[in-house]
Amino acid sequence: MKLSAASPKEIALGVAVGAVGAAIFLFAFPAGSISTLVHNVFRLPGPGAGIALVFGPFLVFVVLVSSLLTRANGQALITASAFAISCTLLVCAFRARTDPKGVFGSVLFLAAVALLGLAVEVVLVVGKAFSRLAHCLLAGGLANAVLLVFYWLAIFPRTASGVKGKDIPLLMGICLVCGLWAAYLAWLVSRPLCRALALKLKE
Amino acid sequence: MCGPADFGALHTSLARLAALFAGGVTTYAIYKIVSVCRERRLEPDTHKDATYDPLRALSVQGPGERSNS
Repeated sequence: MKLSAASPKEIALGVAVGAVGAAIFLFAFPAGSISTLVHNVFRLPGPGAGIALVFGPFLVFVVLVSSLLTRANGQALITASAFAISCTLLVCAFRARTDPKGVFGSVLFLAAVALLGLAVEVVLVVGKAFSRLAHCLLAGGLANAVLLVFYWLAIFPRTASGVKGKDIPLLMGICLVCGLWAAYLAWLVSRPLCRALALKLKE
Repeated sequence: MCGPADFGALHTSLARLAALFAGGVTTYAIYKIVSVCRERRLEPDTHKDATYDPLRALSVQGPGERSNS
């Protein structure tokens, strides 16, 4: 897969995908819903189950769809940054209720989402030798794991508590499986979207 | 650590996800129907060009012209 520098149209598309993704996320997951789903319905240990199961895969999906649509360098980072900034603006503008543990709209949140974008970007650039689907899956799994580890190290010790050693394998396993699944969905969705948007694939 | 359960928020979330999914499916179905209709509208024109119409050929050649074959 060839990657080239993003044109203004591709940058605009990345920003639009990130902003729409942020709006959909805030609309679809009101405060308390993710936490209730993972801890009270699925009985998963915390902290980090919501990131591994819902937030990370959602973000991986949005970022990868945007990257696969344009195949431009930096697209993942642009989309992730647009997602984080849009989330912050929407939370401030509409005073949307979010889970305080996720620190939505803070500097740490911006850093976490940008780090996920960077992880996807690095895998897409470095993993050119693999097939498109293979390095898409690799990017999804790795990016979700990077996001979870960042939350465990930098955010949850301040907002919730440190993760217990015995919970790490289970949460990391869920994180990898959900990241792979989100990446596969992004790969499936991007193909008809490419045709619909009539974007010329640079391959 | 986990906070109090909020099943109301979870119900709202599921309802909104279902609405978003339904919206996505409807949009895709409309897009598919429109693209199929567009293809069908274009098809008769291509068939017309492919079939030989002697009257049309005559008008292109002109009434006084004859083919050498």
